Amino acid sequence: MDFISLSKSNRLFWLGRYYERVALSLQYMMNCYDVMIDTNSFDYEGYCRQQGIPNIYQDVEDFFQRYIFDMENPNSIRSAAELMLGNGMVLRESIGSSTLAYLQMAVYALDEGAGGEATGLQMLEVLDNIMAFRGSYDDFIADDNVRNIIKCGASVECISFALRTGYREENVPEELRKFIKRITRTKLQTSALALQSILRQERIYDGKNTDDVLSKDDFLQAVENLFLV
Amino acid sequence: MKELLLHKEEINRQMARYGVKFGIYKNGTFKERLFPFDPIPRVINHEDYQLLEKGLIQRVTALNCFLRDIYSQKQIIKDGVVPEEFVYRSPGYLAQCEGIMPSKGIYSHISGIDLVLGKDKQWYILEDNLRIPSGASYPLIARSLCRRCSPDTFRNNHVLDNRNYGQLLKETMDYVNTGGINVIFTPGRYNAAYFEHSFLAEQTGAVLAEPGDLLVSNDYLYYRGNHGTVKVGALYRRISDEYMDPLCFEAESLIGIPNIMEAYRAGNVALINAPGNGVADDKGIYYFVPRMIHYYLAEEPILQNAPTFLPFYQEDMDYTLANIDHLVIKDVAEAGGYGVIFGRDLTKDKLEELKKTIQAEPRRFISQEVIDFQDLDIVEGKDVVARKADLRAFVLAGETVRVWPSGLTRFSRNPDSFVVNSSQGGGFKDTWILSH
Repeated sequence: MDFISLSKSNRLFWLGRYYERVALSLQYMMNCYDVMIDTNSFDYEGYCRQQGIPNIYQDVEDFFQRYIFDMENPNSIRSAAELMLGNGMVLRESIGSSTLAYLQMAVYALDEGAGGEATGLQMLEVLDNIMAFRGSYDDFIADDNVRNIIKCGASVECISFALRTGYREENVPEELRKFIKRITRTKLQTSALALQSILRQERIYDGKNTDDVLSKDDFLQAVENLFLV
Repeated sequence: MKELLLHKEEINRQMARYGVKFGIYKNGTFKERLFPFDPIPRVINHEDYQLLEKGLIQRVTALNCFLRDIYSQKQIIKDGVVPEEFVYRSPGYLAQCEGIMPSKGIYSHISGIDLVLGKDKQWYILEDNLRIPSGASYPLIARSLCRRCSPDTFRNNHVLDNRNYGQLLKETMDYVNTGGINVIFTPGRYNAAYFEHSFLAEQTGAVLAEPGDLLVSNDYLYYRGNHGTVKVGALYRRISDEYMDPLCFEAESLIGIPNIMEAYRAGNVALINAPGNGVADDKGIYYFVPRMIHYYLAEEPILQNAPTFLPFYQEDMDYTLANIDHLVIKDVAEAGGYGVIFGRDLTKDKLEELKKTIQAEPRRFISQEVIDFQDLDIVEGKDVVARKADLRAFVLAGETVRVWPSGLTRFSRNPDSFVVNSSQGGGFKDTWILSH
């Protein structure tokens, strides 16, 4: 059994959030990049609004470079990747050097892509490494609690990203079901109020509580504020 | 071997993949750097290693006897073998450790002994590191990667496997464990050797803890888990003595564990290495280690010190002042390659200034003959060039005293420099011990 301190729980959770954030943001950007080939436009201002991040970009090209690759930009994917790696590094003895190596390689791939011409290909390499990390930690970590804390972080990010951007929103009910099962398997402290809202939303998705309505914002807040980490 | 050289870039890429880094603070900013690896190993043949092994075990055994004596009977001082000035005025001597007998009587569980091979083919001890010697993880991971990159090299050479360091360390921790889990205590992510802390935790199966994860209650040390607290029996702490316990040492330390010294004093936790070991790896005390071997073990030292002079003694002061231009002067309070001055590099004025400082503070310095040590080949671009290199051997004291059959060979990348420390821009090599 892995002994988990409060600080380690916190890092496991945020490791889950950050790797999922990097993966989802890149997948989203790859789609937008593809659309841009034909339309030459992307509503990056709207995206910034949805994500609640400041629009500091000059134009769409500037957005793609700085939002994806700029380490100095605290809201960039590169910054999220740094935090993903930072949380991973302090968990080496729990997740293993070989698993951690995928995060390191994802960061290298992201750095190599900065300023490059085949940005899509580079993003794909980052994603490949994150997918490998997902598989590796799932396989390597024997302790259910540790694994589930990481997955809870990933679920929070996944639902949050979908609710904010609409990206893969149709998957939210399924993700929520998985998430609720994971919550009970971790020993993380939760907010009773937020948990109540989340369970209410599950009933709505299941069609068991059709009269009840929970606004998207309230649901998002409940997911974001569920864990006291 | 040729194949290994061809893979230099690939091996370094693999190192990067595994985050083999060390941190340095420059101008107040923390930066992490990859530790440059050179694929040409230092090779030590079987006969040489047997001698080295015996000499290292002898030395570490004597140093442990010295520490036990200094913090209890002080017989070596009473018998006039080591002057008391060198003990009590050493910054590494901690009065707070007086009368504490660590678990199984072992003080230096992990000793890093720095040696060089002279051109006369003799090994010389440069210094003993008995506090928190670091560096074992680098050749440990390098070997695994080299084996992966060039299996034939290892198929065709009879190299002792060094990948058991984690097991040796675990056995050492288990032996002194007073009952509870093994923990490696790191000051945190921004420590220069953080990679090593986390890697060794993985290799030994110990829990990696940071400040805030540990607490002392009723003279026992506990790890604060989210299932409740769990007792700690052995703490391999990678944090300096002075920051260990704010209630006992540096009161402003935010990274220590309040009252850990009380738990240690009560015999309820093993601290690896024991606090207060600095008194035995002081550069001034180094001079007396051959005498300790005579005194405690009644044996002739197998390994030699570099010829060393203590300006504390008038005769040595005279020699030092007369020959300062070709000696190396070391400040006993410094480490990591700092405080090392080569007389030949100084101007006349600076030499005079140094002489005055030595005369004013004779206890602060030692002087040594510059050892003409063997260069080792390194790959630089497409060339092979010779550079100065030392060897840090790791000796683990548990149920028995054992030498890890490998070591960290550090080299200077600067052709004119004798300083090999990673913090000064040096690189490292694997160290091969041939099995026959």
